[in-house]
Parts: sequence; C-alpha cells; structure tokens
Amino acid sequence: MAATRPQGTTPSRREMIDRLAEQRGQAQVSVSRRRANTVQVWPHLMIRQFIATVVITLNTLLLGVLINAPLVEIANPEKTPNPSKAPWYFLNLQELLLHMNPALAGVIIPSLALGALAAIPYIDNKPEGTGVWFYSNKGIPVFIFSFLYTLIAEIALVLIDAALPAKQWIGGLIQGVLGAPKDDGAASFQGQLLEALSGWFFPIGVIALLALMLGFLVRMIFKANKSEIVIAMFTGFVASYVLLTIIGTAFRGHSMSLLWPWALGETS
Amino acid sequence: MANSRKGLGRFSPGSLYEGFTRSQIYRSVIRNPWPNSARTRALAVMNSVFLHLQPTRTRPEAIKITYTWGLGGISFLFFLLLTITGVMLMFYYVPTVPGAYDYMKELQGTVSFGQLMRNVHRWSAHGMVITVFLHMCRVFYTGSYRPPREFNWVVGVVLLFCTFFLSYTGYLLPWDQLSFWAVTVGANMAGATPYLGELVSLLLLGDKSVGQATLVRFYTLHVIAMPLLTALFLSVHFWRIRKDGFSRGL
Repeated sequence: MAATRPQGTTPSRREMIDRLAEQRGQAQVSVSRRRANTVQVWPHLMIRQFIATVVITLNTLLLGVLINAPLVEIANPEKTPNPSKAPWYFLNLQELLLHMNPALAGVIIPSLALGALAAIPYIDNKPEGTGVWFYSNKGIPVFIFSFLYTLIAEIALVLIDAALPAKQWIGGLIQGVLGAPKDDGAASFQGQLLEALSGWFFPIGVIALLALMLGFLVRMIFKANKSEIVIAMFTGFVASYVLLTIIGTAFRGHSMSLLWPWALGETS
Repeated sequence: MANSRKGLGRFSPGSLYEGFTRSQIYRSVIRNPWPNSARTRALAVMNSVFLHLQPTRTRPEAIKITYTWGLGGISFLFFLLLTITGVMLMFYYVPTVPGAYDYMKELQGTVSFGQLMRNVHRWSAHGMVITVFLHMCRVFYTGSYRPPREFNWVVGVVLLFCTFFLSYTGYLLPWDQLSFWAVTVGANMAGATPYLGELVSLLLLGDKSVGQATLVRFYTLHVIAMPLLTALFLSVHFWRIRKDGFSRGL
C-alpha cells in the first residue's frame, strides 16, 4: 500500500492505481491483499472456542463431583471464630490491615490500586508495542527483577513487623521523646500520635519508598523507558497481590499470627 | 414442495434429511446453507446473533493459543456456567435468617444434583476470579491496553471490580459461620472509609451489623443487580474488541 513507500520518492504506477481505486471507493485491491493473510473465524477460531468450552466445562463438573463446597455450622453472631478470614481474594487486604490503619488498608489502597490500574493506558499511551509479549527485549528481565524485588521486600517487611511491630517501637520512641504521659489528656494525645505515625505515616512512607526505589533501580540497571517502568510497577502490584494472598491464606493462624501452613490446622 | 414429493418415490434417510432442510419450518429458523465453503461459513458467522460479534475473517497470529490463552473467553464461559447453575440454585434458596442455612442443607441433602450444582457454582466462581485476574495480566503484558484500546482496558478494570463484588455478595448467602464472618471482616474494612465509614457500612449492610437486611441486600445484588451490570459492561467490552480489532495482526 501507499503507506509503505518511503517519503520523497515518486509513487509507482501500481501505487497510483491503488490510491485511485481507494479514492473512488473501490478498495478491492487492498481488501484482496489483506484477505490473503487471514483465516476464517469459522472454523479456525470457533474450533478453539468449542474445545476450550468443552474442556473447561468438563473439568469444572469433575471438580464439582470430586470436591464439595464447604458448609460449616450455622452463622452465629455471638461466636467469633479465631481467626476470622475474608474470602481468599481479599486476604491480601486483610494482610495489609495487620500493618496499617484500617482506612488505609481496606479502602484507600484498594481504591488507589484500581484507579492506578485504570490510568495505565493514559500514562503509557504510545501505540508502539501493541500485541507484543513484554514490550521489548528488556521486558522479561524487568518483569523478573520487579517480581523478585517485591517478593523479597515484602517477605522481609512481614517478618520484621512480626518480630518488631511498628506500633511497639514507634510507641517506645514517642515515650522516649515526650516521656510517660502524666494525665489522661497526654495519654490520649500520645495514643493519637502513635496511630498517626504507625498507622499512616510509616506505612505510607515504606510503600512510597519501595515503589520509588523499584522505579529508580529499574531505570539504573536496565536503562528502562516509561513503558518498562510501567511494567515494573504493574509487576510490583501483581507480585504483592499474589504474595499477600498466599501469606493471608496459608501463613496466618490464631489471632492472625504468622505460622507455617502445616501448623494452621493444629491451633484453629 | 415438488422436490419433497419427488423424494418420496425413492425413500432414504438422506432424502428425508434433504426434505427436512428444504421445509418451510427449517428454512424459517436456519437461513444459511450448511457452512462448508468460504462464502457459507462467512454467512454463518455474519447472520447469527450469537456469532456476529466476531469478524468473519481474522489474522492467524491473533488467535494463536499462546497469545491470548483464551483467558477472556474462559472468564465469560465461567460467567455463563455461574448464570446457569445460579438460576438452578435460586429455585431452592430463600434469603431468610436463619432459614437460608436450612435451605442450603436441604439443597445438599435432598435435592437431586443440588450438591453438584452448588459445587460447580462455587468452583466456577473461584475460577472466574482467577481467570479474570490472569486475563488482565495477559492484556497488560502484551501491551493490548495501548491506544486505541485505552477505554476497553478501563471497562476491564470495572469488570474486575464487578467480579470481586459478585463473588463477595455470593459469599454471604449460605449463612454459615464461614460466610457470616468473612462478610463481617469485609464490611468492617469498608466501614473504615474516612468520614463516610458509617454511611458506607449502613448502605452495604442495611443495618448496624450483618443480619436479615444484609442478606436480602446481598442476595438482590448477587442474583440480579450485579449480573445485569456485569452483562452490560461485558457487551461494551466485547463490542469494543470487535470494533478495535484483535490487538495482534489487524
């Protein structure tokens, strides 16, 4: 087609005919050329859809025959099970809940995450790279690096917060600076200060620092451009979602304390 | 008519079938000839309400299994399986406190295939959450969100939320300890919204804590409001794919 011709050269006779045909609304030339590289949806796509439908339906049915959906005793508002867990796909948020203020963990972070997801195509808005796995030859290394970085950082954070809870050392810090509270007013002030610092400022600072560091490292190590940094950030989100879901599901026991998965059954 | 009369002279299953496909009844339902040539296959896709969302031709690289892994389609298949089994479960389930739990017991214990329907519903729901999430990853890592597909990505994020919310509202319905406390944990999280916490919590639960009002709300959201909303966004999602073309090859 005319678009493939380098600029500045005179169009060939063939191209003139193509262009003329298109201009007159008789685009048969280009249509027949495009057709040459296509296959028919029936049967080429539909056979795939049909096989996938049969395989998935049969597998789900088989799973339904083999494993029963759980039904425990009737709901009892008087009797709180320990631990009480949300559905598994929300256990990542419940894990965050252990480390920061509930408003931050349960509302603000998920809302921001959904908002950031929706914003991706408006931030990384060049059409180049559409339909290419991992964008460029740096894509896979950036993906692996970001995934491992997130896993290691977050496992370390979960372990540190279990060994030395932020609430504890920040509380000690406050008492060290301000002294033990002398009256109720001072005690309530120190309590609010502790929540502001350990529930809001510290976790926000840690998350912001981790994200900035990831962007910085990816830029330094891989000379990443904007699209590759967006890959790093999205990978950080996916890794966090997966890791925190696994920790919340398999490593949290009585009172949401850290446990090995094989020890979960013994305490509950 | 003349043809079928002629066919009666030398009767065979083939001629019976031929007569059937020539009858007015058959031709009023199926307008296309049997799809065995390029033209008739294109017609079969184009003229069917269920298939016409798809183009008649596409690039082979766009439908390679290792490109899409069929994840969007599998998510939709789970949505359909959930609709079918969900309708069956609705025949036996009544959202009352504490009766809902007894209906669950009855469904599992005495209704033919009741347990199986519930199991398939449950595992399809988990399956849909997983495949929707994986589909999002596939679309991201193949850059398929890039212009001109930005808005369809946003519609996808809305559908991700719909999937979570559909699953979450369904979680309460069995009214056992698992569902009651999982929903309480979730509602407490929503109740922590700054400034609007009490309002959000009241809107979600219909009461100060999880109870009869909550069950009716979750049931209504789960069986009609959210499925309709999801179907609406799904149609936009599919239509946009059709209009923008597959992200590879076209």
